[in-house]
Amino acid sequence: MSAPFPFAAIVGQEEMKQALLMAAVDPLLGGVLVFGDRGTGKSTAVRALAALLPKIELREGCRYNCEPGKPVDICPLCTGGKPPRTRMQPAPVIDLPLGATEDRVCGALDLERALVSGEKAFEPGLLARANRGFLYIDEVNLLEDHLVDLLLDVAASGVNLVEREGLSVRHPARFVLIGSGNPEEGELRPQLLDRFGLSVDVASPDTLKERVEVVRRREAYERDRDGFVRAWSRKDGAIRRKVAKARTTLDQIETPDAVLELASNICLRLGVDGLRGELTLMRAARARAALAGRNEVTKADLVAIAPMALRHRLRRDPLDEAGSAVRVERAVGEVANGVAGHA
Amino acid sequence: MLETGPADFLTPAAEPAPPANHMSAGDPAWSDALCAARLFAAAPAAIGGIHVIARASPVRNRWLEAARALLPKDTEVKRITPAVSAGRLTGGIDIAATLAGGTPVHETGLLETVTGGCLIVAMAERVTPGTAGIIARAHDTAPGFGIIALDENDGDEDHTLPGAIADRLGLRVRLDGIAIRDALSDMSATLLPDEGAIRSVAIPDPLAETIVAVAAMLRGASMRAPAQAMLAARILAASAGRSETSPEDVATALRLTCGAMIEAPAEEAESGSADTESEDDTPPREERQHDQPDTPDRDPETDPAFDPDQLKELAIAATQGAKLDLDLFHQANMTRTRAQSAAGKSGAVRQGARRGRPAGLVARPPFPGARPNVVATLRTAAPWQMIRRKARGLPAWTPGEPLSVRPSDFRYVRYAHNTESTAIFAVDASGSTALERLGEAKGCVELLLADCYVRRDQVALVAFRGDGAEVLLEPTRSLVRAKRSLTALPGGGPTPLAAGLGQALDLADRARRRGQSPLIVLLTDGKGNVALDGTQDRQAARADAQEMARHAALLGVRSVIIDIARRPRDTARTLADAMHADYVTLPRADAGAMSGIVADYLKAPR
Repeated sequence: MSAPFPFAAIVGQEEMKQALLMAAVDPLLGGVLVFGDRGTGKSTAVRALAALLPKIELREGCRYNCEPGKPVDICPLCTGGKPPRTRMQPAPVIDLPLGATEDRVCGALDLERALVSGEKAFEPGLLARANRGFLYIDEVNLLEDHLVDLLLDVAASGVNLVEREGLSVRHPARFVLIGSGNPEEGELRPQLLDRFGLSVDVASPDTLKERVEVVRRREAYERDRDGFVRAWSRKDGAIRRKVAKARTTLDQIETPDAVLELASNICLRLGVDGLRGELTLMRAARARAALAGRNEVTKADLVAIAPMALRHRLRRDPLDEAGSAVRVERAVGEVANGVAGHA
Repeated sequence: MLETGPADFLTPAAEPAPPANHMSAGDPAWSDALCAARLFAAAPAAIGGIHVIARASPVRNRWLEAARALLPKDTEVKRITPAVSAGRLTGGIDIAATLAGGTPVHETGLLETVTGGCLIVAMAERVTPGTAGIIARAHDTAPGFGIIALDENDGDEDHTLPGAIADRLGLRVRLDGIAIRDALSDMSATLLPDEGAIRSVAIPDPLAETIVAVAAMLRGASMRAPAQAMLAARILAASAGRSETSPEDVATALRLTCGAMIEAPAEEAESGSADTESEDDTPPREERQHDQPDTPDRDPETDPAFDPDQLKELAIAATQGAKLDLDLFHQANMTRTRAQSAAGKSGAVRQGARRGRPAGLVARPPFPGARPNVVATLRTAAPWQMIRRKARGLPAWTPGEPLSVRPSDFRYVRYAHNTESTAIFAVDASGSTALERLGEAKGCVELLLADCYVRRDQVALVAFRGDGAEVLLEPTRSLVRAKRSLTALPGGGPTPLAAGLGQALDLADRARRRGQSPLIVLLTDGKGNVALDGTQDRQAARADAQEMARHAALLGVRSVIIDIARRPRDTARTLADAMHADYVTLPRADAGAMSGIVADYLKAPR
């Protein structure tokens, strides 16, 4: 496979880039949902992200992406007599194709071994391959309902349970879910919407200059992929280091009480149900602070990430002309400036 | 005379039609189509593909032949139909061959075999979004392949080429309306430019800006469109042997990729054609047609709602190096996206349907009494044979022996079937209270859609005023789409009640053909004053409306008339009687009450 389009070379789309980087810094954030028209660079950005993720330690050939310290008991490789040496490898970014069958996603009977040697063996699916990495679903709103249910379950529990066809297998599947789609082709079920930590809307750039730049860069990339990637490798490298550093400092980031209070107030004011909203707000704000290289969360962090953390959690009011992002911004503005205080 | 003749012939001024023209003298649409085929052949994967809008016809066959002849001899060309299964596209283990051979036999997916080649999608308008997603993904994976999508759609909104594919196809070709005698081609002499030549062509900044601006106007937000147009312009320039694109190249490229009808500035066009006349006869042929702005293949429906003058100005400004401001076009661009975006349909399938389109296999019976699918069951059982025999201490299976099939092997076909209702609002947008009424109807539409997850219903809106009825919102389930389409609502003028009713019936009929149950919600006071033929005649208008109402009764469409007159009189009630419709008075139409009424109807079993 040839090198993906460099992340740093994507023109504009700051909100989407920020959200993806935050998800890379904190896998527990709950993933990102990217909604927007076709051809606005959603897939490009996600595929570019793969090059920026910090490498993970893996045994060569392991199909469950086991952590070398605590291998999965069903992994024949890592629990075998003489496991291969560990190596630092790029974190997996797995594409979940639309037409994927349940077998393909969760894993199923290893057909090849069953047919040839008559062995009953489990062949891990895409969920195992996405373990410790990213699972990307393009056109997530077109995914079959039963697959969506299955993904939700696994994403929430971090464990994939297969009970079928005489197989009984469980293995860890901890991944960051990234979905993209075009809202005009059908919307996402509210239950699935809520599972995503962050949600961003993308549009293509609206100034002529930027649009020309987008096309020019794309052409340069098509002309000489390796050369283009090399030309941007320094900027990509800087982002990669920023992500890696933010990951290590994430645990030490302080959250002042005032910021916590502000987060609660925003959620109260918007009537966001459950604690998930507040939790995501705090996590996202910390990820942003970590990316900026600070060791304390500020109110500015919170204000900046509130729209992407909350816009998909609002109860829908179809008669409100303004988009949900505007509603969040309005509420944040009111609360942050102390106009309204407690709702 | 004899002396002057040949001399005249030699001077270009006396011979307005260059010799190259005699071949394509017939139909510019046909030579455009051939030009698109050449562009495609020069870089199939990079330009994405060709969206061919045409019925099956000899002309289409000729065009396909020509297009195939242009591709290198060893190119892999595969043709698929919408019925192709996902497994066939992506490949896997061939169970039968593996069992027979005793070694794993991999079946290569169709999309894999076509890599670097060309995929022809027949009846592309019937491809499901799921299949489209699979094809699109394979297309994105380098080195990809070119797609020729044969779209036979004929103004039928129910079946359109899914956006996932349409957006990746760089070129658009319309073949309908081309006479067979014009469809002549001789591709033997065609020389395609090589990749290096295409890449080295430069596009001056002003022309690049024109491309981007025009693409934004005509093909909306997608950034693929300008990239495809630029590539097309490059190929055109390269095949004419130029190292820089000319305004003509750009005009042709935009016409073929975005459907833009632009004339290049006059003096530029002249110098351009003077240059190209000395060239080989292939490329300049097409560049002649933009001198005729009204090419017959213009179709009001697909031709975007833009102002040709504006475009022309844009092109002229760009070629003169002026800076452009895209904000000006942004509004136009947005409305364009709205109009163009195809209705995606997803998820609206009933669980456990007993009929409909097969939608995969399940291990549990989808409805009580379902019969297992024999082939699928055997397929599931096959890999287990050796394991089961081993467990019972039997030797390996040989042909002729019985298979051991267990209950866990049973597989059932799951059917997907659209069951939703479609509420069609026909709103009287005439007179003074029109705006208010439309506003409330719009609110009602949005309230119903916000609720749609519960019931999976679709909503459409027809407004009638002035001299006719207009579909403001095609049946949709998307709140986003409804909001976008209903931003500006026109109101005022006389009342063409019959036309509005007719339009609503039309939509209802289409919904029914899709297997949905339509519900017409007519918001009116029943007082029409414009007849079907557009004349303002109260008497004729009433007769026409009654006629339409009886027609509706015959069709048996469920309908409800909401009387919105301040003081309800008999007019609406008689209409309801003729229509066999329910009659509700709601003098102060408000969105909440209305959506309550309609929701009750939608929920009620038929």
